[in-house]
Amino acid sequence: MKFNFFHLMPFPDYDKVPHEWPVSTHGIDMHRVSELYREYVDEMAEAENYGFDWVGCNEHHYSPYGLMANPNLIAGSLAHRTSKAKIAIVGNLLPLLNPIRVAEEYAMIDVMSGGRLVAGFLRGIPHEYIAYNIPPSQSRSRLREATELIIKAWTEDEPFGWEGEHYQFPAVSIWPKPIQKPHPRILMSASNEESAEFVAKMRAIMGVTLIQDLGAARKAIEHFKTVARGYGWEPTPDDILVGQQICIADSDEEAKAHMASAQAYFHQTLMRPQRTAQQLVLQQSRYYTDASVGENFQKRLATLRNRSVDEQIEAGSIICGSPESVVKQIKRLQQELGCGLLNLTIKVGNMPSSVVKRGMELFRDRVAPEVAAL
Amino acid sequence: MTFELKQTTFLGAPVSYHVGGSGKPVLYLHSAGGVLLTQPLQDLTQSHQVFALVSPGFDGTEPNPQLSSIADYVALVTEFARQEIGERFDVIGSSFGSWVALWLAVEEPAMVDHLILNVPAAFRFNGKGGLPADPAERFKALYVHPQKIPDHARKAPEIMANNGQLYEKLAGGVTVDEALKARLPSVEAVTLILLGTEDKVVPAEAGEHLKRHIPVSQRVFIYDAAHSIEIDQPERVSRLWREFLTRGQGFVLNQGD
Repeated sequence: MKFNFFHLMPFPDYDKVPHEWPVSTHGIDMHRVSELYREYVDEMAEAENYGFDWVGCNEHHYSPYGLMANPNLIAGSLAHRTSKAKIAIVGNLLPLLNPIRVAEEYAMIDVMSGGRLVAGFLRGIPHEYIAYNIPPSQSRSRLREATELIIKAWTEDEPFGWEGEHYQFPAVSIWPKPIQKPHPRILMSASNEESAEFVAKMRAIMGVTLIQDLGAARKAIEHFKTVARGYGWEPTPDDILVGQQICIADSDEEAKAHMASAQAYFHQTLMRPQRTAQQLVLQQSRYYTDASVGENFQKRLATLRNRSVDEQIEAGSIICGSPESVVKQIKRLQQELGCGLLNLTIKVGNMPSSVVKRGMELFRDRVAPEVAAL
Repeated sequence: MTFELKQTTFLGAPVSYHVGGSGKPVLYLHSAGGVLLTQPLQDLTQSHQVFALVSPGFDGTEPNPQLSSIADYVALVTEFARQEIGERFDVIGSSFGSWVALWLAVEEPAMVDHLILNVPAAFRFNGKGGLPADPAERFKALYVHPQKIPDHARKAPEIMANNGQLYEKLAGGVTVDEALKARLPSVEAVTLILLGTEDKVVPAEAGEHLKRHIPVSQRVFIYDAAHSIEIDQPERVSRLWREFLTRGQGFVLNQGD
């Protein structure tokens, strides 16, 4: 089993309840943000020495939820500060971006890191479409076209042009090309049937997050496997990544207390402003072709928000406890879902850095040795 | 011309207003320069019924000696709207008109549905901004693209001078309306604040302050426009008005049309 040290880079000191998205930066000290970048990049660079196989970053806009508007900048820094961990960008929000720019930056990171990039191609969460003024109804078709264009840009040595529905480039020949051949491994989200189809077609790693219960997650994974077989391949555990928030402490009680406090900040401050904007997108656009998928997405968020830490552990939504408990929970996930990759968010909300550090130590000393061979 | 000039009586004196179009009613409150039936206003008549009230005495109309303050004018606007427009409508203000529109929104929240504040006056913190006294400088402060001023919008100097004097009388030398400032958090209308990137009359701090304190508000800078945004960039203003009045907060969402 492999583990991704995934970071959202949250802003942990927001002392008001933000009422709207985008969130005002009034009163925020950017020197404090500068310190946070240093602290967070240090944590990520260190992760490979604490039993983590990957180090992961991602893209969000306009709120304290995450300070990584462009994860490729962080990945560029990690490329030279790490030597063995895969650098997983989970991921660039392709429909919002210039796909050729993504192809170029991802290729640079792959080359700079000596071939360690895992290339996340994500559609993003609904409200992000307001940030870059892209029609949400085009999200899926843009994702598909951008994905295929990027792969072409990575794999075609001779210059080419692209004449598509959303993108037109008369002449393309990116320098450099990725080191990994034919190209870096692609990771995509497949939390509903429509997205599973395309992920399977691209033979990408399937990412599953926001697990409400293990039964539903298992069903989504089984569906992905079935679709993949239709495309002539059989996904292995290495093709299935499951995302979880995690807290490891010296005792169960301590871990649960830290998680409860950090999640309160996560849900009430970091996630709060997005809800209205998210609803706006879901109500006024066809971000989801099937409205019931959108309703299900919001229901999952609400369910997770309203559950206690114990309920979340029981449901398989989070990993939390002493090293011994965490080992059991990871084994259960692996057995129930057949996943070979865990995307672990240790810095949850405003979790103190000392707790994050202790969690990393316990992972290295008492968790990784028990689960690495799974 | 899509507008018709009409007259009615309030507080014992005549009041003129331009009315045009059909659809949901919109009350337009003009700037210190008086009514200009700009391209955005004319465009708006395709989807809305637009009432552009002429503040008594402006544009050569008969003055009303009872009007001597913003509060008096707001009272007149309220009565006008109640009698001529209805119980609930959208409001667009321009500069001085935005000042009046904001007062209407805080005094009569049930009347104002969507509120658009073009280059809003009355929030010139630390005395920044304002119209230069020198006519040439004043002209430059108003327009980046004076060649776009339509002929019908060019007014006689004596009319403009009289409009200016009437404005000074109503404004009473106020640079920051502290009473209105204190009531901004009570604005219930979904509000759009429009500012020109080249506007030196309304300082940037005004728009920032309004955005921060009006609970449901959005702020848009119109590129390459001075204080007269409707003249400098009519297509941009027209599009924003239409989108906002049609879709409210949802106007931020690109629907790919």
